[in-house]
Amino acid sequence: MSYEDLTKVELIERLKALERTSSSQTAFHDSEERLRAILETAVEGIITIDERGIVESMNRAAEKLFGYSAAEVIGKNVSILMPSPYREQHDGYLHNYRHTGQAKIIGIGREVVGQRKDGTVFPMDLAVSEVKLVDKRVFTGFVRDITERKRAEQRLAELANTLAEKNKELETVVYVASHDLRSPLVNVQGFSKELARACERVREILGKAHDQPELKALLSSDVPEAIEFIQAGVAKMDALLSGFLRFSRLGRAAISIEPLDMNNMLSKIAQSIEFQLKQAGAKLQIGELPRCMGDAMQINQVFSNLLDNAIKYVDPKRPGLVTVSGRFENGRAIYSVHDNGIGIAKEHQGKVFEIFHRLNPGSTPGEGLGLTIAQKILERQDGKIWLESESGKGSTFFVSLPTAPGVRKGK
Amino acid sequence: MSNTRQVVILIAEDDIGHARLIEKNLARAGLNNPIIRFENGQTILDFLFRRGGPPKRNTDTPYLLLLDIRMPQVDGAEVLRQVKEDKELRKIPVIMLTTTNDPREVERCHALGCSSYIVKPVDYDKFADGIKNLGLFISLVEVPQISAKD
Repeated sequence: MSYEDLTKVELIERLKALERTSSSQTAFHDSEERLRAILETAVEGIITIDERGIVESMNRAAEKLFGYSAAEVIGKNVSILMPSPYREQHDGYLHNYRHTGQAKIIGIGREVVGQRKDGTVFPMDLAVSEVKLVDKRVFTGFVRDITERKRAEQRLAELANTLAEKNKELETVVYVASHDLRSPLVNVQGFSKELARACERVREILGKAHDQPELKALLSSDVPEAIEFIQAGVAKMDALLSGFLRFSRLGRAAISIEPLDMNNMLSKIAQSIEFQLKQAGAKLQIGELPRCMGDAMQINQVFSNLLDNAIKYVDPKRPGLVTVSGRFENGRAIYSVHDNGIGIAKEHQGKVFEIFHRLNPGSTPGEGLGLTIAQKILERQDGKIWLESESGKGSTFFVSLPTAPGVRKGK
Repeated sequence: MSNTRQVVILIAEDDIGHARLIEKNLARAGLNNPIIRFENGQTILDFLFRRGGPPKRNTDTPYLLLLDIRMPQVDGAEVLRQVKEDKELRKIPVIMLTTTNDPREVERCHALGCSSYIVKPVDYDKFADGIKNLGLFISLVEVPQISAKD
């Protein structure tokens, strides 16, 4: 049938139909172009292979990554992009996958090593997806160079390592220093006492036989005063060194984390500080406390230190009241030790955990170690300590620890 | 201390001051035993094992050892270990001296077989007390005679 036989109407119909097909073909062509453009310009390298591992396509990013042009790779085995021994294993791997369906990378993705045309290797992230077509299947590999990330990871690991080493070094230095410095101190203290003793004897002998006022003054006030200062200095230094030693031992002490009955622990601490409370004219109230995980001896130390501080810093203007309470919050046991004592001014709050830092060195005894030790203990046991305080009103110290397993919420 | 046999006290102490303070306080406690001081672990080992030049251990003299733990090179714990490993020398009472009360160190020395362990506190009165008690201990302890080593 020729076009001459068609009616005008039929002819128009045909033309319209033709037009439709052609525009859908254009549309199809357009979308293919678009896909190709997307693949070509993707930042990730994209490589497709067939079931036997023969490269079918390679985008520009992949060309750049491996240093090959697509033409050099297409039609070749994808294993040329891998270093040994992966290169030799790849065919076997694909074969294995075809027969068992056991995937190591396909559908999963992992970190592998790629080899460039110039033979250099680089770490890369590889994700492979499988495309099932009517008559065959192809695999699409998405690769990304992770050299930078790897380098950063390694730097981070090295840094963490150095930090751990430095920390250990510091602890050793503290230990050795505090230990070795005590040795000469034994002499300073010992011989100054010997001196005092000798001085005493000289005075006794002189007192009987002679009467020289200047010598007497020297022996009865100057020399004893000097010795007194030497000894006070020694005592202070000894206290600091023992503090250092205790602190450095903390970091090395073996700890055993177990569920802790805090009600029991706090009531025992309360018994042991009864006398202190009475002396300070303070009261202690302990609420129901949740259980937590920690080292019994060290956590006891934390709360003993906190209570010791609460009692130490009572405000003479009002009777002291110390309350201990606890609650659960986001899977953690939170304890608070609250007092109505003298409080800590905002500007000093950051310093209370510093070693040997003392806010009232004259008026209260202590080494300035209690909170430092508490913080150090908690650091090692996934615990935290912080405070809220207002000068003249009181302080609250909070301790957070992991809860003991099997604890009912809201107990 | 009339019943005190003439036990020779061997002190291994690298700090002359400490050694002098120990001597003074032992004397004050009434002990007038001869004292020989060694500056480090090696020299006291040489003396005990009769190695090298004089002085050498006398085979018919009873001895008692006071060992400072921290000494350069051969430390007190090592001396203790070697002495306790020798089947004759192990009879000698050994008292460890240290500036630390580190529980691990105390345990280690007891495990090695020391007779007693004394902390040299900075507090001199305590130090003097410790040495006085040590003097009492020395005056009461039965110190066996060590036979000659072949």
